Amino acid sequence: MRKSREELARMGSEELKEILRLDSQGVEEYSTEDILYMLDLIVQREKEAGENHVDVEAAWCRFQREYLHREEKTQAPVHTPQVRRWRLPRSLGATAAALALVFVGLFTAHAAGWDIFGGLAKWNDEIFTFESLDTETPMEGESVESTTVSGEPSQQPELLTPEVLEYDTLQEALDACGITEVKAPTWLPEGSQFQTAERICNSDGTLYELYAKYECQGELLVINILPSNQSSAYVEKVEGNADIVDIHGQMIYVIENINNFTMAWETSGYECYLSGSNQQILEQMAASMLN
Amino acid sequence: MKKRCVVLLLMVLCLVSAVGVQGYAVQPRASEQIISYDATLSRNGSGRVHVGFMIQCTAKMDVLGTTSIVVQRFNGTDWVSEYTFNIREYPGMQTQHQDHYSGIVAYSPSNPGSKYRAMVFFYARNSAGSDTAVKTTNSVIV
Repeated sequence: MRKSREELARMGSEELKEILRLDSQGVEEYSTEDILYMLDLIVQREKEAGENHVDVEAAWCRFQREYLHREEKTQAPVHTPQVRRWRLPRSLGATAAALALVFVGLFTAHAAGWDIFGGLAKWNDEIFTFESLDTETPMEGESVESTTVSGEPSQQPELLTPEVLEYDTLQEALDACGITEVKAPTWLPEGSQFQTAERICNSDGTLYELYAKYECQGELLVINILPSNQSSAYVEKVEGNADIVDIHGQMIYVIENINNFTMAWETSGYECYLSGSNQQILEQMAASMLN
Repeated sequence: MKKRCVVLLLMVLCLVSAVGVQGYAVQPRASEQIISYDATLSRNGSGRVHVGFMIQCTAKMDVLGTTSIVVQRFNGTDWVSEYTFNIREYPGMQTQHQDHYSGIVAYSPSNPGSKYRAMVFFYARNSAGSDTAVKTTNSVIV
């Protein structure tokens, strides 16, 4: 039974996801606006759940208490020359401790996914990307305008079928696109089988993606090569840092997901993503692509 | 007085540091279904907006693709939704029994000369469950 927005707002995220799942299967119960509203709710809740509220006041009080406690202990014997000699090192010590805390904070924030020192890639506890993570998420109550669309068929909104060209190897696809910055892997794990290499383009020939797939003992090995001139892909990841390895002088990010790894790197003009379940195999494949 | 200021500054730095540590310790998410996804908005030669999307999954999914693509225009203050492609009207936004899917939607903007972007809502489902993701494209003046 269709629920009102108030009722939807009271429902749990899992129930909303179930409605969305049913909707995606064609059960037409809710309008587009309602679906967007539910998506907004889920996104907002996930965003809010991710915000770990810090009791700044308590931290401040605790710091003051601990700091003042030290001051009280050192202030009493302040008239003796021996204590005076200690005051300078003590203040230096406090400075050093504070700076150490700042650095610990920076490194921990770095470990939590903020590539503060690198500045090349960005990640948080959910996704990795080569672009900024500052993009806005949809907000509740955002206005929706109706649109008058021209009557010409070509002006109607439409779903286009991308032009997909298949090749016998990834290297053939790369050569056909004139891509010299990326090479196909020359090493593959024993028993792996080539599945497909596809060039996916717009109708005017604009390249969207090169995609290659291999199968090794029932596991997928996937290569996605995307032009990096407009946007950057998002890679799902588990909590924690993305590792960085250097292979033949190329900085490669190793991103761990629940049951797989992705190795990501950027050349001039392209983003390369190599995904599979075995990190060692991926590293060897990446090395053969960069050799 | 000067020393007091230095001490205060150091304490503030420490607090900022501590907040930084705790503030980014957010819950893990990851995905059993989705490896990566991308969405790009571009303007073709005739002034139409093209939104290309791609989703790469961990294995063959029962269903994968997008549930909706919302084309938005910047009106100078806010982003307003101008048109929504949804799965009911455009079933080709999803496919079945694949590990990878890509597609393009085309739209004629109502206000040429304005800045446009799109929000793409991804979806993947297999026997282990389902997952969703959202990506906002780059913005382009069309």
